[in-house]
Amino acid sequence: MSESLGESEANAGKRRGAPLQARPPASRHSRFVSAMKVALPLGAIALFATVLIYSGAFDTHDKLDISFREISTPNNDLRMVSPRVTGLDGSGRPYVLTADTATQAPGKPNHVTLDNVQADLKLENNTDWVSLSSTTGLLDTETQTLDLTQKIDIYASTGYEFHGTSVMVDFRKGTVSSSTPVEGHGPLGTLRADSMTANNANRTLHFQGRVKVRIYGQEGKGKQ
Amino acid sequence: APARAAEAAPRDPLSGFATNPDAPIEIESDSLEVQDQQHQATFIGNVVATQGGMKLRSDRLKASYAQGTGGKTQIQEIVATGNVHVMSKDDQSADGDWARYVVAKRNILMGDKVVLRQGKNIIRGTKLTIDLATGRSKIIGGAEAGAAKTGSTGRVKALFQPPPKEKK
Repeated sequence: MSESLGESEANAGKRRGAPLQARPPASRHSRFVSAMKVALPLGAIALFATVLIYSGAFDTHDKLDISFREISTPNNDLRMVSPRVTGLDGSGRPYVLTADTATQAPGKPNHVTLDNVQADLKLENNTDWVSLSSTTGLLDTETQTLDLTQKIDIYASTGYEFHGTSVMVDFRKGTVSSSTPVEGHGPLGTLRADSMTANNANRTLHFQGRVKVRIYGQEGKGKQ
Repeated sequence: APARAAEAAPRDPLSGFATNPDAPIEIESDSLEVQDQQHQATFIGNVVATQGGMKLRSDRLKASYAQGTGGKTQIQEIVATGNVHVMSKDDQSADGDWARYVVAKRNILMGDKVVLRQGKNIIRGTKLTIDLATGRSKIIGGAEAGAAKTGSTGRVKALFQPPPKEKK
């Protein structure tokens, strides 16, 4: 097949009148083949060498080991937005918990961290209520307790208002207690104490430690 | 009637307990228990209650409150028990086992082994009534509990120290 190719090129040369004996086609092809005989093995050797080099076979021990850095696995906690929890306390009174976000702690499914949490509890007579709000809270669904920390405000429809920094709500027992100082006011006047416990069942509030109450005078609220 | 009598009378030596019953009351104690349903607040331990110039100390103090006129919660009555000591501004004091302050009546009733002091003057009796509007105090005697044992007649006993004579 290559001869027929050569005859057509010879005729082309005749037609153009170029001298035939100068470069016969067959010799150009054979030169190509002989060049390939050398180039191909060299190429193969070069490729083989590259693979060897990059496989680290010639690496010396003092060189810097390149290893993949431990990428911290993303916290696979469960986060809920605008959660709403409802339940009944130990005496069957309803309570409602709402928050901006609720995050379940990995490994502790019953521990839920709540941001900007608000808890509303019905009081013993089922008409009055208590509302607690705080920046953060930790809900334990097993013990049914809510541990509120940071800025805590407590409002009761009976006219009491308290502020504190750490409050524990026990839904089962129906108690709200603070082991840190609280201050606030009620229908009678203003009050501060080192600690407090409020019991919903018998509607009692117990204050301990340097209690100071200022009962409004009859003339007007808190007038000197 | 009584008010006019109080104005006419010169200031009684024992009228130091006058105070403004409408002034705010400050109470400090070791602990406090509020029973919201019974409208009672019980202060327990080193209780100190202050109203205007008058101060009351006791082991325990119970305040009863109720909703008064205009829906305002007001103190109705304060009962102090255990080592009750009432002091007024001008060195006048009264001691007793208990004291009951009825806010509406503006008086304090003290009982059982009452001792009223003003400077060196001492009066003992079984009941003392202090009228906070006029500051007047009235002591009455009577059968004391356990009077037979102590041999006391229960009558009022007073000891007045005459002022020292001015040297001529």
